[in-house]
Amino acid sequence: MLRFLSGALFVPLFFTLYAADGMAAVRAAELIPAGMELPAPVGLFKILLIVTFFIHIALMNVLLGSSMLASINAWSRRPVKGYSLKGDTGFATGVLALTVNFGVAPYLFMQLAYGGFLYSGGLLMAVWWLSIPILVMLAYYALYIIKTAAPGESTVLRLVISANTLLLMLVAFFLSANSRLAVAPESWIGWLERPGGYMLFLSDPTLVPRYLHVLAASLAVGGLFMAARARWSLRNPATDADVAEARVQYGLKCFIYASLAQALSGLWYLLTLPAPARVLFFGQSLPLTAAVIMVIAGLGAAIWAARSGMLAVTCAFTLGMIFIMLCVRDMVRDALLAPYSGQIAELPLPVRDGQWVGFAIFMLSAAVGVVALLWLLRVAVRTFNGAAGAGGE
Amino acid sequence: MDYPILYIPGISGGFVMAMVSVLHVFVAQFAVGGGIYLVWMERRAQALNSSDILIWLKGHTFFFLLLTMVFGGLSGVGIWFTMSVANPAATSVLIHSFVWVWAAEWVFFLVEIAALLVYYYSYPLMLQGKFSPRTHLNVGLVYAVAGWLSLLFVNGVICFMLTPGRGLESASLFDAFFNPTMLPSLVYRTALCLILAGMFALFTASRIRDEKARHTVMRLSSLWICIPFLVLLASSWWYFAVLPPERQAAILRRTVDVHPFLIAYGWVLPVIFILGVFAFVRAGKLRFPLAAVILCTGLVLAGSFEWLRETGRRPWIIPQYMYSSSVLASEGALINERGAAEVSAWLRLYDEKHGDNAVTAGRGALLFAQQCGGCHGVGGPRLNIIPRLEHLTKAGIYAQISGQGVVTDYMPPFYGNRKDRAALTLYLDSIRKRGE
Repeated sequence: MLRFLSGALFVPLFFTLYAADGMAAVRAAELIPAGMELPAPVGLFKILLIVTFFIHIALMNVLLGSSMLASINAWSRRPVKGYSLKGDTGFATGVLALTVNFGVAPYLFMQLAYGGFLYSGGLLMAVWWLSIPILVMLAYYALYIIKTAAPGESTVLRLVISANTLLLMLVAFFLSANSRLAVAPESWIGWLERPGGYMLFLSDPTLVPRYLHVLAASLAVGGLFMAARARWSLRNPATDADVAEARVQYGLKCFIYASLAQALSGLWYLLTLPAPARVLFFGQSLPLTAAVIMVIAGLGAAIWAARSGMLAVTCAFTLGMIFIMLCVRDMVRDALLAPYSGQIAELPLPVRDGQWVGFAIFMLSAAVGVVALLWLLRVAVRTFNGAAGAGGE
Repeated sequence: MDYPILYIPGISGGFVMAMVSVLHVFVAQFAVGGGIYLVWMERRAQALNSSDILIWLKGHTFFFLLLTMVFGGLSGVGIWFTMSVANPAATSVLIHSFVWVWAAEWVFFLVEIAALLVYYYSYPLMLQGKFSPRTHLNVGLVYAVAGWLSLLFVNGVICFMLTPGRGLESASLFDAFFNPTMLPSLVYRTALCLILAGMFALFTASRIRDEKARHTVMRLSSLWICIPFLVLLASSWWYFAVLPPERQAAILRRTVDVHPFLIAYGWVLPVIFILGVFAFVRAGKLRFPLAAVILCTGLVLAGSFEWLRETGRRPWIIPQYMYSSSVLASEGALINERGAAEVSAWLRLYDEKHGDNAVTAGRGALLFAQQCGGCHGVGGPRLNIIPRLEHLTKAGIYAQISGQGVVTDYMPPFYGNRKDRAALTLYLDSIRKRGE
């Protein structure tokens, strides 16, 4: 044990003593690992990345937002009508499972499109990065504790849902930090001074607004999801219509206020972006400028639709905005990485032939998968339709 | 060598990877076998018209869901995360080469999740007669097929890492996926999945109150250990037989990193069969403690097998292509000629500060992290480097580094020039003295 501790203390000491300061002269581009020849055009991976990431983010927003609302209501003296901890979180285990699944695919395609950056970012913050699956697992089990607990509420269960929210918020923070660290090779040099994998790039001015933007988006989507569930529950004749309507109004109110907070944090984020990326939003890049205008218009329309009680229209605008924002995110990332393009070495692909056959097998699997999922959805809707009353599971 | 390094002294990247993957594989293979078991047992229970067995199956499915979907799913993500930090270069090669295989596997993972959720949540309705038992079985069947297809895809890639076969030579995805060990490994793993399903079933069935139902489930579940065991034994031999001689030698060598696991594997095989037969014969008397022991033997079986497979690759992570130190075989000569800084910006960074001729223990520590730290910890629980230095002098350390890969052929050669070897020697000598 003593040997272990002495080793643990000794080796980082060497790095610190021998590697500190004097690094500024080195070009950050040198630190970007060599890429590899792609098995298909990069555009294909980017499309797959954005589509799967869109589903992941939408599910994540539902999950985190619903957890935040459940925590707020758990401690509130005047919770929303029809509130019950089990009822308001019962669906979350399934949503979490799907969120995790839809996180795997973009992680895969991201490696193809931005591998050297993605993995370097993960390594620099390895301790936090490796803790993510454990934190999500704990959050997952917390939801199952609530799900399998006896009916009724207790302080313990309130603490459990709060822990779930905090765990998910922590995961969101680590992922936000990673997204920024990965595309900032100029900051990677710090690894030599602290090689233990603890970097978080907390000094970056975009980190806080970016994270707040994620939290606000989740709260907005969580509210919208609550409203949508309550409206859906009206299909069941046993549902109390007054309770359902109160939940619709509560959910939409959350959506409106959180969307306004999102707009403010988004503006803050925009203003803190490095200048070469920021100026693109103000006319230098037509797609980015157009995207921002569309998002602002979409946000206004979504808030207007929410105020008018048009739930389906609000949902449609919100999903559209999420999709556009992911495209914006992609363009900003490319803008931040532009100085390094053309400077990264590329290794030959060791398994090159037959990749299009592989793609065909993936498409065939996807087709089979979609058929299976549609059939399962049909079975589920037929089976469970009407089981979810207002506030029910 | 161009990535930063997961450097938590004592706990090497390889150690983290080994822990995560053994636990994940144990649960993930239960997820595959368990899916087939659930459908099969539900059919049997319906045929026997046993509501006790069906009620137990509902509880067992919940246990299955908690273990496979939560722990299995998240530890699967954990493997991705760990791989990407423990050996990012090798992970990048595998993802680039097999992206569509991984993508197809992900699709079936998604189907698995959806099917398991519908299967579990419709169980109470099926028991109440509000949901067709036939549809319920079909949902379970979708899960079982999707689970096995996931195994099929992952298995091909894992086997490529042990036996690339003609895959690297022809650069063909077909050759790389259908490599020499792909088929024996698929048969082996399928058998192992079924055995684990039987073991987990014994584990939860030991709690069934109704004696008749417990006896039936115990007997049937023990058959899931005994019958696939014969397939496992045969495919185990087949798997070993198709390995190239150097991979066989790597598994049979008497070094501390592999031999204890070979012994464990050899011992646990007959123990599992005997316990399976015992569970069949004494089904009515089998209680929870023994069921837990049987389950532990499953962990030893799965864990020792994975360890042998991983260690059998040494000194490679992808034979003939990339060493476990992440050095490409094609780069070795260049690094020896021009020094490790030629391929590592991090070393160039170090040299820029200290001057090109710096030979310091700090530089050696960085080289150790890059080329040795993937397997060796400093003072840690796995392949601790300190005791391995105790009998060496400084000159001996230098000679060991220079001869590595030739004298100790299970370790990758240390790639670097004289200056690199001298720096690493300085570092290792300093920790040797500290360890005294």
